[in-house]
Amino acid sequence: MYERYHIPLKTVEPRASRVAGFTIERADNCINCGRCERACIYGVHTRSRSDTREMADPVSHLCKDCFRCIAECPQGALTISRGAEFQSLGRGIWTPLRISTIWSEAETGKIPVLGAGYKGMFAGDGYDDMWTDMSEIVRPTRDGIHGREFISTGVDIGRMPPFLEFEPSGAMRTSIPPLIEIPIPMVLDLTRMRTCSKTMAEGFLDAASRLKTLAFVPLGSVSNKTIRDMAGCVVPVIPSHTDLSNVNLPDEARLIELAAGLSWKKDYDALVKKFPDRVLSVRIEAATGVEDKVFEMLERGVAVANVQFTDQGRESGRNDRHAKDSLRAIHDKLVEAGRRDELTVMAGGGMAAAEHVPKSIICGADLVSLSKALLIALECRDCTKCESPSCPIDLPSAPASWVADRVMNVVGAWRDQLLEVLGAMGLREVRRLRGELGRAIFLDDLEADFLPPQHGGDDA
Amino acid sequence: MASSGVGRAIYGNGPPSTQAAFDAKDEAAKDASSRKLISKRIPALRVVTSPGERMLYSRDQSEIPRFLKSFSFRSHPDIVVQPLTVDALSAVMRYARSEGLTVVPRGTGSSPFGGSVPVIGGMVVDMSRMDRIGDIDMESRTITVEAGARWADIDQALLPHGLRVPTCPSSKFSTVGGWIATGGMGLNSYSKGHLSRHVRSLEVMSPDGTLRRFSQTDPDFESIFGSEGQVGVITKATIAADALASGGRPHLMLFSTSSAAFEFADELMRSDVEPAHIFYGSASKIGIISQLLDGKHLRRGDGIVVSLEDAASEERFENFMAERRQTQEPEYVARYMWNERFFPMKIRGLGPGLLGTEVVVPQSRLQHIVDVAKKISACMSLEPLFEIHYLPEGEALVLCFFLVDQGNTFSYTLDAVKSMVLARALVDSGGRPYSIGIWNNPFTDSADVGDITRLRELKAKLDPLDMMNSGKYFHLSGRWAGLGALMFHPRLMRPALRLIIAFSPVSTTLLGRMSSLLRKWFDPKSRDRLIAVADDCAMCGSCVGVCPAYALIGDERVTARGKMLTAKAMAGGFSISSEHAGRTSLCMRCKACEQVCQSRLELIPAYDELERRLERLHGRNEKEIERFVRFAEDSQVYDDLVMKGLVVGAPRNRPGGASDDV
Repeated sequence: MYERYHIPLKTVEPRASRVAGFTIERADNCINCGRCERACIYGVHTRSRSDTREMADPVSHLCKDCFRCIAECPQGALTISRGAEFQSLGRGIWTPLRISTIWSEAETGKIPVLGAGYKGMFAGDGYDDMWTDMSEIVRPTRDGIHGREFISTGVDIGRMPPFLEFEPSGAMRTSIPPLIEIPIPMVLDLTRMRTCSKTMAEGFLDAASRLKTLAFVPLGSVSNKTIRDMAGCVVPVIPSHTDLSNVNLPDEARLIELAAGLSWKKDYDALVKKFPDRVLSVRIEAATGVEDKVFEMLERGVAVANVQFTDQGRESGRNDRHAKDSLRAIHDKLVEAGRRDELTVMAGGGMAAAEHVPKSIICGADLVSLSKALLIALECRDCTKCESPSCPIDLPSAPASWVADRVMNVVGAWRDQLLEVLGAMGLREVRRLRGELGRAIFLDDLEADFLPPQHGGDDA
Repeated sequence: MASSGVGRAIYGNGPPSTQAAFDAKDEAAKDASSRKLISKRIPALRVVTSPGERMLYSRDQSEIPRFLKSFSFRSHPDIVVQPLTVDALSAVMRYARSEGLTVVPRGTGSSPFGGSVPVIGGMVVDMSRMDRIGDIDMESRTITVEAGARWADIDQALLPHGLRVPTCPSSKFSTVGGWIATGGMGLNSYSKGHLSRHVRSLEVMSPDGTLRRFSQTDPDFESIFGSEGQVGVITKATIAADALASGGRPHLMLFSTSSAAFEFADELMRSDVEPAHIFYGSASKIGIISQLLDGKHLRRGDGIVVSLEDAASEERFENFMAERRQTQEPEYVARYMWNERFFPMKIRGLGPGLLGTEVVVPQSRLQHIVDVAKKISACMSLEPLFEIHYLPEGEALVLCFFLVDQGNTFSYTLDAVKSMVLARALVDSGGRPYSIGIWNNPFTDSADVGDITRLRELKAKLDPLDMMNSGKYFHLSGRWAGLGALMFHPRLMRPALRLIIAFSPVSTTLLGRMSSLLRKWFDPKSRDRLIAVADDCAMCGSCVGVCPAYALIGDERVTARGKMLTAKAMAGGFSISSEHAGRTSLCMRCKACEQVCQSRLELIPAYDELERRLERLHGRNEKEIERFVRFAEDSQVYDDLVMKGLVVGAPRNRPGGASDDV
């Protein structure tokens, strides 16, 4: 029976107190006239429930910074400012705006709304100096999240033979390697989380299973029984140098990952020997020359290269390229060799916003893994004080069902945004977006085209 | 916003309501005369039916000891009406004539002399809702307003045209009609003269229901001023505006004695400085203002405040000061004192309560009058506070107040007697009462005979049946076929008061002693905080003019003054109906009343307390409150008020918005 993929969303109230992005203050010269209540479409201003004649305190966290109440207040009694706590959130690419956006996505499952628009710079670092080309936005078949047209977000994980060979009898000579299809190009990675209590893990696994995607977990953190119960959602990650003789994994672990160390080839060979019928992945930390390493893996027969970047989305080491450049290099190398489909490229680290998913894919990844964004979805303040008593929101005690619902909401909202991008590009499936550099504009290219040579432009 | 063409918010709580009036339940009229009037269905006329609301019209700004008032007069009106148009007023006048009712016209009731309070019942015509401000004729620089318009609102209408009212009363929220009928002497009178000089024409509704127009050249024109509702109801006035002044500022000089202050003022008036206004504040008064401020900014002394309005007079003033080697207080202190001119009642809270008298005296007798008042007051253990406004033609308006305690009915009654004694003493020392009303009747013997005669003649012409405000001014009527009022008759009261003065200091000291005994015996052991606030309220009615809830439903019980009177009435045993309690809660919590409050009261906490008490009796009708709030939000009247700024000059944060310069 045909069943359309759908992520059920619902409002999931936060457990901790909210951090308002904008603080709205009402001065004493307010005359309770109620114009702000009529002006605000987000519900920041309402009359008090207990006494209609008075305005309730502004609900700052609902504010989208649209300034309408400020403009309409006849008394000039309202003041808007950036929330102090809000401004201290996160670091680097994990900006307060991105963190609060994830919070609101996790709470509502909806696409974020920015009242007065994006007020930042036109271009920035990393993914901020590329723009997806959504010029097809006028296409009549534009679908977006509204579901009139079918757009597939499904991806395949595993080695795909470049062509099929047949016996003269008609039987297929090529042996088809195992392949896993998941309905979204996003998997959950629990191995990189700073903190992950038992209930949190339970919630993540529940979400992965309901999303029909995969959850990467450290070997031994999940019992075999659970792996079986989760019916193919759990991916054990085996540390390097692990003695495999005592490792037994049920058939439901369709994908097994090896964390690459210096002697990864030896470990990988042992793994192939032990689990010949599974999809095997090798995780490597991205650094200078990562494209060569990935190519080595391809030649070794690895099905999936899980390329991990830092939380800031960069390679580790001194000459740290951004993920978009690394991924393009990897993709180019594989394409040049004519062997792109033989390897699934997964990218993780620095996925701080929904747009980073299609951008990674445009740069050449098949799919992405989410890690820190999932913690943020659980209201993590990104303060790095994770030990149980010091966590300001007591994250480890989050109940499993709440964790699962928040994660579903974030992934749902991110998928909806991916659909918007695909719809606006006129693409019917995300597989087609992989490596489609023509679907994006890069700042470097623009500068080369338009700047004079002394400022970095091309001579021609 | 609607007026600026942007339109109302597109997102909101549904389409704007088309409801024309708020339909809160009104108590049905119980008395036959109100019912009969209602049955006439006169358009644009609101008949006040509930006893609670009518109660508000049985008094004005003054707090008269209950025993004195209820014994002598029938001050509760039989009917109270609020006409909204001239036609409605005409119809109601004809009705009163046919029923033989006395008509008592009323503005905001901000005068303390009883001019708008009935003495033999009758019909009170509340003119404060006929308050339209008409167009400005830029050619002749005049503005035509209805009698209920308030001076502050007129000033605001003139401001964008670079104009202002030439003179206004210290209560800027009193009505045009009210000031014309009672006095016409106030701020800037020194340079601008009496109000009648600036009114170009007047329209007056005669008792027979016809409208009469009086231009400035009309021989009867002058007599309308100070006529205290004896000849008709003033409906409209055309006022000549002045250009806004700039280049000058107020100055404050402090002196060690009152005589030094008076001498300075005399010299200033003889000089070429041409100040716009001069007033004197006694050391006692300045001391209290300083104390209320925080004691750090004002030195003690007898003060003269001089307001200058242009750079040329500033220069001449500088020379004048240099010649005399006179020092002055810092500018901000002077500006503060100048601003205090609008808040003469602020000191009430220290009593709580304020009694006193207002007389017009020749400037030459100022020192004498102040000395007399001080001497008699000292015997009666009172400390008089003086505010003296200089008038043209060698006259001055003396306001002499003293703080009293309204909380003790017995000592307060005695205080009222003392104020009579003081008034008599001032009148006998060469003053004449500023206004007559009820309470200055004992001093009519000293009023200007010519004025009274002219008014009597005009009344004979316009009101031959003696329908207008009858029982006052020329003679006083009241209960017991007028016997009750007899004690206020000059022939009786004068000898009595003079007797006391004659035997001073023995008699006056006796009064003082009695007071301290009464205070010892009857001072309330504990004071109800709500009643204390209500006692602090000056009942000046400033809040009425700015109250958006009042603008919407015209029921004074929703205003601060109405609420404070409700609190007092409750404490006095008046039974508050559930409808009355409901009205008390109809409020927008806009705090406009606090902004204009003469006594600078913290009203909102007092409302909360009053509502708590009323809720104990009748419960809370949250639904009606919400319905009212939403009705207000949908109403154009409210929208306009909010956009105009409920209170002129109240602070707004908006850059480039209205300045907070009062």
